[in-house]
Amino acid sequence: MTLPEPRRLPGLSARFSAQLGAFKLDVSLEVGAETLVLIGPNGSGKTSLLKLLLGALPLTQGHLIVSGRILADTDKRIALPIEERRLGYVPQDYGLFPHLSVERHLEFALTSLPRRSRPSPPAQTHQIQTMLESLQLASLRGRLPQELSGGERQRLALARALVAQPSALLLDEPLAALDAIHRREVSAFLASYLQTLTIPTLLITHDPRDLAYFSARVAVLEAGRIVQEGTWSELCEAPGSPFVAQFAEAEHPRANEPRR
Amino acid sequence: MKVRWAWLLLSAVGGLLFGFLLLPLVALLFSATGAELWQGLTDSRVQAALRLSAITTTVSLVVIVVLGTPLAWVVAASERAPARWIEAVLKLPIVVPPAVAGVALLLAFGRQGYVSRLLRLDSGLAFTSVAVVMAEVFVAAPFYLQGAIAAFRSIDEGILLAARSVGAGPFRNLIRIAVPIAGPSLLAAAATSWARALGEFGATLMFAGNMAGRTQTVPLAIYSALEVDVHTAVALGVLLLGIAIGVLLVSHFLAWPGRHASNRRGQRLSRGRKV
Repeated sequence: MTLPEPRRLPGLSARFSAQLGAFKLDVSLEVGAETLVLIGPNGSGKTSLLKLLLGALPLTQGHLIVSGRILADTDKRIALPIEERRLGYVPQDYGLFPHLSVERHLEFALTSLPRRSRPSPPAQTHQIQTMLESLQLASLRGRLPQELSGGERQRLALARALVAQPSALLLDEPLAALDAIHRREVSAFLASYLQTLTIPTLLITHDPRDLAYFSARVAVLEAGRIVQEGTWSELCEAPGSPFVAQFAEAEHPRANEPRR
Repeated sequence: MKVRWAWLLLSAVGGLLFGFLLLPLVALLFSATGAELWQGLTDSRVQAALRLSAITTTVSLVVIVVLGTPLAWVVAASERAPARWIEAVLKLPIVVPPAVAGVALLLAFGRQGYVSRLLRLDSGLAFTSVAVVMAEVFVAAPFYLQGAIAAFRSIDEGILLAARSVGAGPFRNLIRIAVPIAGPSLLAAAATSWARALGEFGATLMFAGNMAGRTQTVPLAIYSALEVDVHTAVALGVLLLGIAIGVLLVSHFLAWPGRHASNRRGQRLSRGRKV
C-alpha cells in the first residue's frame, strides 16, 4: 500500500481498486488537459470505471484526485457524493430530460450549483447563451429532446455537462446511439470540440472504429485492468493483447499523433 | 385441426371465469331504472355518506401522495438491504385482511391503544371521522407506493445520474426531474389508490364504526341500506361501479401514454429507413 501523495497539478489522477460483486476493477490513470479514449470489450468494466469516477459506485481502496481536489480517498475516509464532485457527465443514450427544453437543460444545470458558486441571473443567461452558441444549439433553444436529431441530442448532453464548468468530463459511449448515416459527421464534430477543451476528458467506447475520429491517447481496459496505453498507431504496431490485435488488424486508419 | 380444438376448449374453460366476473356487474347495471337511481342518490342519508366519502378519500389521497412520494423515492433510489425490507413491509396491507387491519388500528390508536396512551389522549381516535381517513390511508397507501416505486425505478439511470452530476440533490432531483418524468404513472397509481380508499369497508367498520354522518362512508351506507331499501343500495352500487370504471379507464390511458405517440412514430419511420 503506497502513501497517497498530494497532487496540485491540474488533471485527473485515479489509483484505485473496487470490488463489484465478483468483478474486480484495478485501475491507475493519469489524464492531463487532454482526451483519453478508454476502449475495451463488453464486460471489461468500462461503465463501472466511469461510475466509480463519478461517485455512483464506492471505491474499495485508493484515491481519485481532480485538479488538486480529493474527490475520494479511502485512507482519509473521503468520498464526495456525485452532487459535489463537479464532474461533467454524458451518460450512455445522453440521459436528457424529456420534459425540459434545450435552454431549460442548461438552466437546470446552473441553478443546481450550490448557492456560493452559482452565477448571478444575468451571468447565467450569458453563460447559457455562450454555451448554446459554441455547440450550435442557439436556434434549437425551445425544442424538447424528442424533437432533436441524434447529433443535436449529443451536443445538448455535452452542453448540459459543461455549462457549469466542471473540472473534468466523462463520456459514456457518446457515439453508440448514432445511426450509421450521421455517425461520421457527428463523431468528427465531437472530436474537434473535445480538442478545444482544457479539462481532463475521458471517453469510453467498445467500438474500435470510433478511435479513428480521435487523435487522442488510448487506454485499453480488459477484465478490470488497463492492459495497454499509447497512441492509436502505437497500439496497432505492437498490440498487447488479442483484443487489440484483432482491431488493429481489422482497421488501418491514418496514424495520428496525440495532441500535445 | 387438433390445435383449433385445443384452443376452443381452453377458451371455453377460461370463458366460464370471464362470465362469472362480468355477470354480477351487468346485473347491477341493469337492475334499476334511471328514476330509481336518482331517487336513491338524493336520499338524505345517502347524501351524507357521499359527502363523507368525498371528503375522507380526498384527505386520504393528499396524505398518501404527500407522504408516499418521498417514501417511494427513497426506497426506489436505495439499493441497500433495508430498502428491500421496507418495500416488502409496504406491501403487507394489501394482503392483510381488512378486518385484521381494523383490529390492528384499534390496538394502536383506540382508547386503550399504544399511541393514545403515549400521547395521553383520553378518548383515542377510534370511531371518529379521523379514524375513517386512517383506515383508508392504511389500506390504500400501498397501492400508490407500489406504483410510485415502480415508476421511479423505471426512470433511465443516466437521466438521474446526469442530474446529480450537475449538482442537483435528492430533493431537487425528485421535484424537478423524477416527478415530472414519472408523472403519468404517479397519477395512475394515485387513481388506483383513491379507488381503493373509496371502496374501503372492513377496516373502517372495525375501527371507525358505522355512524351515519360521522363514519358511514358509501360502502357502509350500501351495507346498511341493503337491510332497509334495496333500491338505495343498488343506486350507490351503480355509482361506485361507474367510478371504478372511470378510474380504470384513466389509469389505462395514463399507462399507455399517447403523448409519446409522435416519438414512437418517429422510431417506426427510422426503422423503415434502415430496411
